[in-house]
Amino acid sequence: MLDAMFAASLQAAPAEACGLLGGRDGVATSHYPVPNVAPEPTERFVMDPAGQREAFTAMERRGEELVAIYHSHPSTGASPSKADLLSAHYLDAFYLIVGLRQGRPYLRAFRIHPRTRAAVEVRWLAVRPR
Amino acid sequence: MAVTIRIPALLRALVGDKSEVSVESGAVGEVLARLVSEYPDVKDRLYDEDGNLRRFVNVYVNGEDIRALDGEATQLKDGDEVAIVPAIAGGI
Repeated sequence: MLDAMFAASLQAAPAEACGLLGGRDGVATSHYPVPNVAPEPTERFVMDPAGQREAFTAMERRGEELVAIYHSHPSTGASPSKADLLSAHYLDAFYLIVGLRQGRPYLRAFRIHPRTRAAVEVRWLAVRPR
Repeated sequence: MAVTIRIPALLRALVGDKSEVSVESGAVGEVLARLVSEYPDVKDRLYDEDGNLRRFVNVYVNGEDIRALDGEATQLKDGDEVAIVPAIAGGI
């Protein structure tokens, strides 16, 4: 899944990529890439409403919940921007940001506090199948 | 004659922790106004200062985006389902 997010981010650059991760008990098992329909996709992301809804419907059908929301920052580093914090409405989910450092992707994970809108970085562990 | 409004997780605390609210049918705008009249705390989340639906709020009728129908004038019939789905967005 990490590879899928990285591939989507590299492919979309210099535009921002975005998508959702579904799963159970906080463990993401499905990747749902969603088109970025922002008018200025190198500076913002807005998930395609139909794509977002399709992803939520697919999760519901599979008995999954929304575990994480990701998007990429192709040129500014993987820290949440003010716009990211103010636009965050699904605060039960992890917010993941893929940064591209000299074309090499890396990931940071955050939780956003519902009242203060402060981002707290989450340490995470990638488990890869043998 | 009633329709069901599906409430997104982030608004549930404002409507008594319900995932669905049933209100009398009408046009989408009227139905949302009934929701707001029953649960006034929802108003600021759905509408801007000018009383327009916020840009990040997507509304669907039986799975169809109201922007592809008649917007808030879309007429509902008994048993229709209205879903409020906040858009996911951000920026650098």
